[in-house]
Amino acid sequence: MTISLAWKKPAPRGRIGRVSSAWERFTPYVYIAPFFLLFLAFGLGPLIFTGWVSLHDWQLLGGENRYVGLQNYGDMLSDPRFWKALRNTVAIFVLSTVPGMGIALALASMLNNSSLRAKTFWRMALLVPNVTPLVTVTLVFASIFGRDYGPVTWILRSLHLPTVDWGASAMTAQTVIAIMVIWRWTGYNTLIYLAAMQAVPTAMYDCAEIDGAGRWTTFTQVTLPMIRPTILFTVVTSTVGGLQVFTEPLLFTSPTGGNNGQGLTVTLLIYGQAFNSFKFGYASAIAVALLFIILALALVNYAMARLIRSS
Amino acid sequence: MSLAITALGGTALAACSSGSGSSSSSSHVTLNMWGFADLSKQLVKQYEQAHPGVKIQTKISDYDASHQTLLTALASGKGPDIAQIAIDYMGEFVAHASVFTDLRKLGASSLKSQYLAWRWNGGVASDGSIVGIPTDVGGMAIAYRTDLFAKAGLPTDPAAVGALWPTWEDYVATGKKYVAATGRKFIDSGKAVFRAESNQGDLKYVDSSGKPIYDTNPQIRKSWRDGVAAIDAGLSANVATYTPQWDAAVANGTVATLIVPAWMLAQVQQQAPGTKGKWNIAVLPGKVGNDGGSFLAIPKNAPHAQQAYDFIKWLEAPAQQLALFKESNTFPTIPALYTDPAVTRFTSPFFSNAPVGKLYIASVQGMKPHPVGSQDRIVESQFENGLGRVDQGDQSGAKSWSQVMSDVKRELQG
Amino acid sequence: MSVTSKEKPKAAGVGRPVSRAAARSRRQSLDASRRSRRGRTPWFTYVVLTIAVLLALIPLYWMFVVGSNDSSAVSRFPPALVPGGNFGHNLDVVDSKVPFGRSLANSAIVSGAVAVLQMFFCSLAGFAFAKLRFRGRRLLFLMVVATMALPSQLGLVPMYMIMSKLDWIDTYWALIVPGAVSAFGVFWMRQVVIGTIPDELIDAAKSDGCSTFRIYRSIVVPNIRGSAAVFGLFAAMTTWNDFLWPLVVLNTPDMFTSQVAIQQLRTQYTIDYSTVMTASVLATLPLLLLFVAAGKQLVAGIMEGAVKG
Repeated sequence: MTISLAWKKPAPRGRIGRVSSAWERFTPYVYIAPFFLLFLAFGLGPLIFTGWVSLHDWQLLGGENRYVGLQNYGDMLSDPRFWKALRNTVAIFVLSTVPGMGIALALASMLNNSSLRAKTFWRMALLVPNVTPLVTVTLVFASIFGRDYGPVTWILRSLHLPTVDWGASAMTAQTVIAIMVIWRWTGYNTLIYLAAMQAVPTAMYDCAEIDGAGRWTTFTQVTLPMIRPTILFTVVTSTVGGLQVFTEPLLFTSPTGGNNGQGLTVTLLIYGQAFNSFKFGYASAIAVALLFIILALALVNYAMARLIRSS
Repeated sequence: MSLAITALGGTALAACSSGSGSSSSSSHVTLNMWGFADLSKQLVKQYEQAHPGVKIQTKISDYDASHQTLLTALASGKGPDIAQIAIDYMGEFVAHASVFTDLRKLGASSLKSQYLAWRWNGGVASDGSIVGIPTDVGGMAIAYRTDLFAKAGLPTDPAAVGALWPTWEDYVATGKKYVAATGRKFIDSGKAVFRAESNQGDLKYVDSSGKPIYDTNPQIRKSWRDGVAAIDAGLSANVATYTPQWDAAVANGTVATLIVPAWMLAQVQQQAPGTKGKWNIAVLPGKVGNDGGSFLAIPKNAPHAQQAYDFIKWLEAPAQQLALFKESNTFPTIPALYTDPAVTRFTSPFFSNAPVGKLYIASVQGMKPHPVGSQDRIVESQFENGLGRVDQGDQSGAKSWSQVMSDVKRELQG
Repeated sequence: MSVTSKEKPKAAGVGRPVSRAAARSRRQSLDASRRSRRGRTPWFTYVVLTIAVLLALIPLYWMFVVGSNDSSAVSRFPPALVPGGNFGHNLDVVDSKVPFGRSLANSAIVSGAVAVLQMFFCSLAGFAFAKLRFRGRRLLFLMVVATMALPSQLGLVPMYMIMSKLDWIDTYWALIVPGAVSAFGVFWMRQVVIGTIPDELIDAAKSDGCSTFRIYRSIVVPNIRGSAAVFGLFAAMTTWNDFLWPLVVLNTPDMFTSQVAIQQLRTQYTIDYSTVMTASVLATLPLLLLFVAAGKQLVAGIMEGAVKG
């Protein structure tokens, strides 16, 4: 890999150097300042606000905001909806992230082929699910998995298998939601993995060849270790994103996650409690709890992914 | 890239000066209206021409999203000039009347006698302040397939059909006959029965002092029983409204009857064009009912409260409600209009020339006003989820009822 | 150099003395296989890719089919698969209800601005977190990651309050400024910088007397271009699709972005699916064009050097 080294050797240091080195100590802060100011206002600010709200019985529309300490958190721990939502969220996360990353890796390795024709087309086409309007996604998946009509039902019938009411039970609804999430987000991960794979020097593959490694061995012993940092990165981002899945369950089931909360995820619960039930403080407590759960799980997943052999 | 930034900068500067909400010079006022249903372009133009200097711009969105947007804005004390709030959501907003302008201060008390009593009361807070002006009603009736009824040996004339079911038990019994004769479903869901019947009493989920009575109110218990009975008798096709599955079931004749408000007829026409002329409309059991309608309210810090009120008052005056009816078949909430020939003579060819106007008006005139609680919508959704579970076969009626009771209890506490 | 470096080599070939003839023949077979590896793509790959692409594109196609028929096409079974002739009529309906062309322009301006700003700020901050040493670096970065984990829905309320205090309601600022920074972006860019640019290079530049900005401009930027471009594209896509925040904060129809404009097509109580689909097709088209235009650049950029071990 070549790195472009495009600078001219500057004038020798002297007095100028001394002044600039004092300045240099501040530059890191200057560099993150613009980001940080905006981050403070629109990133950290809401976070602190949410934490503050979670300690109150917060009235969105006027009235007094009573300080209640950790009561919201206590209520949350004894709320069966919270635990159901948590179970559903983790289930959907596992069902969608693990196969999703696997599919993305497989697709990326197929695209990582210099003799592939129409490269641009394949790559860009995989991003289309991410820009397909949500109203279309809803209708399409509801139709495909429709109980009475719909291609899946039709296939099951022709195979003389029992038909399924996909939206009705937790397992089936979560499967469909996971499929929706995989469909929508695989393109992202594929491109990220592809970028990493393309940076692996050909010499590595040559050595594998010399050692007589087959395709699978090359993949697991060469490619994966070389793109390990990228995989770790996507593990963390997928954990963070996957545990916050909101749109897909909302669209496939309902704002309450269905008749029996089969598609209820934690973010859906948060949204419902805040904007439907007007319990802003309670919703904020759940949000803060989710934050810690996500960070914890991200750490765990990161540690597990590090088990991939490093090169 | 630099070109883009310059262009961006220029547009941004322009944007700063132009679209900043309801900015106004001395004579130019822009009223912002947020809602979930579009205003009649014709009426808006008419008003703007009659009031030069007043401009009305609307922002509509999805039913739920529009109320959440309103809530978000009101929470920061800054909202639109006019907010359209659905009847189902009104209970919650009326409970926080302090974030709205009390329309009594603008003279709304004089409007009270114009409107249906029970519709007007929905817009009044417990301290007497007037939060919103009523817009329209949906009414309730039963649309049925004449061809399928004939096949099942049932009468097809609307009067005869209406006589088949004076009570909801009779309706379920008729449904059983139909299912036995044809093997098809009779109605789209069990909760449709519940929704219609639960609205027909003096009380619903709270009593006049605001105390929750969802668990003891006999009207609710009976509505639940009838909903479950419909499901247990195999009448329900278990399709949810507003989904393509519902559209398909209606188009395919999977369901023979629909308990629908007036505005839903348009949905049937749009999604099942092949069934034209095969429907008619009859009275529903219990004779009264309503689904839909909204209020127009003015948030407290609205920049132009007076002009907003003038517009609302004009828009919901008899002449304009009538004009709106003629334009888009939106039913008025003004009893004086119910004898107007435009309303009484209104029929629908799609529905075999049924006297849609007369039928739906009759259903709203008999409605008894019941106390509305601030959390009624949430309570109702627990009941509907409960019947959905029964419809799916997940739980028996009794088991589902217990779960509904505990779910509602949890929603209401804290 | 053996691949399975931590174990004793199982395959013959490394660590054992080898005759010259054997080495030559091995090299020849290597060249041959290298040629065949490069010259041939298994048919299997094309099959899988075709299936994947079909799955990816069919919903979009169906959207166009419904948009060019009438609303009943939505619930038809077997599903409608052939476009009708109604697209033009639906276009007129859309046009009469909302200034759609204007909304596409608004979306383009906002998405473009956000993409550019994010690429700039996030790469700057990512570089700082990756390569510059300063007090509080760990803590600050942890806070950045923490905000990634907070669901954004509740942030609507404080954000609206801020916008209302700044009097930015119904302006481009309200859409662009909050979107200019992304915790995810900083996380990504930091990762890219760490992976692409060795510390030694930075140290060498520093000892040559380069200012930090020089280092950023001359070393970092050229080498993360590929990843930054991908990131910018993703940022543009996300902003284009965002509908909740624009819905809350915009008032004037002329300011609506495309997602908000589509909402204006609701008729009283019903949804005319066909018109909504037509509008959705229009709203997606610019992104598809962007893909086509940027695709070639992206492919080149990706190959030029990205995240590496």
